[in-house]
Amino acid sequence: MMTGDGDFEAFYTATYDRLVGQLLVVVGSLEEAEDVVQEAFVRACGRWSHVRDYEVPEAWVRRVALNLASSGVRRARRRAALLVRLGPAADVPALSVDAVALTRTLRKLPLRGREALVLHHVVGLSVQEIAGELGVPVGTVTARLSRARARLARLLAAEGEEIGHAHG
Amino acid sequence: MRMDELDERLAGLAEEGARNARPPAPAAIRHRSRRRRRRQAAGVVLLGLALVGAVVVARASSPVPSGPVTPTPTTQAPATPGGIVPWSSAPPRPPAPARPAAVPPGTPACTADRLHATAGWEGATGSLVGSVRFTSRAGAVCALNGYPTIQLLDQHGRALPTRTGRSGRSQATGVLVRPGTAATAAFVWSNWCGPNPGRVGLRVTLPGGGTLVPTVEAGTPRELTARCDAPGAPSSLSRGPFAAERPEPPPSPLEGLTATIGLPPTVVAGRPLRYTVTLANPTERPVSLRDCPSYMEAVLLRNDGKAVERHLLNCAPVGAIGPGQRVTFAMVLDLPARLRPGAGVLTWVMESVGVGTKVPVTVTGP
Repeated sequence: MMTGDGDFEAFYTATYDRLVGQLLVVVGSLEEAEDVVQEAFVRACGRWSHVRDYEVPEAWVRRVALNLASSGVRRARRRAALLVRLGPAADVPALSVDAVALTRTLRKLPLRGREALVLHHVVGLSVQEIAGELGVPVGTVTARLSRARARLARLLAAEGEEIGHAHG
Repeated sequence: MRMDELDERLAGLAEEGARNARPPAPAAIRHRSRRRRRRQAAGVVLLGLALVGAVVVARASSPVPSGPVTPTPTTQAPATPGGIVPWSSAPPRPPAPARPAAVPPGTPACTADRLHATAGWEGATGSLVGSVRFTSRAGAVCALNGYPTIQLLDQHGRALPTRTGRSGRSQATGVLVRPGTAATAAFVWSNWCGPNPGRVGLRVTLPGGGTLVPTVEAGTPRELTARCDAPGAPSSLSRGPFAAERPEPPPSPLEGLTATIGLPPTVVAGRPLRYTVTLANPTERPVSLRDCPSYMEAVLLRNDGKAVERHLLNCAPVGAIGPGQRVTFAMVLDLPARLRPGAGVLTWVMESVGVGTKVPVTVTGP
């Protein structure tokens, strides 16, 4: 039988990378994504005896990470925690040029829109499931999602034109 | 933009992020979790502070490795070709058993006047998950048995109507509380369809007698209620048994080290992977390796292939790493021939310390 700790370790190891990837889409930088995901796991660890009984503990951790990502005050606290955290940061890996460009474009969207995009297009949740996870009406999710999609499409198209002009 | 194109670009970005993620060792997460609770219990209020102020407070409250500074020799050059410390296959040191103290016969049951209590909770996916932490007051030594009774209060201190349940299994012998140790009890609040209670508080009744109103930890979202999922059904508050909080290990001076990996040009399945790990000491005091750490090394491929080993670091030839100095250790990890070629990461971490690093690797066929 797994001990409580082993159980947490297995869950952490299996889900950490994936959650960092999802949060990257929302927060736009790998460091900040790791920061909020780590803080969410720190909180899950403290309450693991209950969080593990959830049907999808990963959804709980993701929700806490998204909450953390959405507050400026929390960002300052997180930054403070980051500076004193255990385990020095390794060499910062470089994202590809395309990825950096896409994160920059995504940052022009409101945070709630990015959140809806990642839950729908990356996590693969339905609009109903997103409404359940965020605790908001289905109509709100639909509106955020369609606005975010339309704006992202416009921004990406405009960037495409710019590149076209630069090279043409 | 087509929908499948959007899916592809966003999923591609998330995958790239996942590939580049650098998870700290689970032990580091647990350590931070315990430190967070300590800091909250100590009432260090970071909320509302500007970034600079917040950093100063957090630094001041973080434990700094201290103790008598014994004259430690600075880095000794290992007597090996190239100055690289040879690899040793020594098995890892078994972790010290973290068994909570037994309750001596005749220990009195804890009553409210013997304890301090703090509480905190988090909201996510509709429920609030939290815990109450109990510590000894005025040197009291007592035992907590079974389950606490927890009541949620509205801003006027009136009890919110909830159906209470239990989860988990209670320790038969109870949990010993004495100065320097703590007990916790977790709780989950779901399905609140009643009126807005304002700032939520707690009241805890102990099986040994007496009632406590825990101090709510800074940063707890007190304005939040559980989500209304089923308007016809009662609100539920489930709580766990008293559990011993594991004592926090003293901070290790090894936490000040940084690690980097040196990889060979090719990594081949079926052959031992020979690489190096360099430990650097950016601090201003020598770091002794007398308390030699164990480490985990792992190749984890995206095709689910993996190779994991744990060993004791070969500390004997080094002794200590001087300020601003570095020592390179030879490492060996056996890669089984059945490992399918593919890309992934090589992780190296001193698990009990939380210092480690990882680099991308590509394993090729034999």
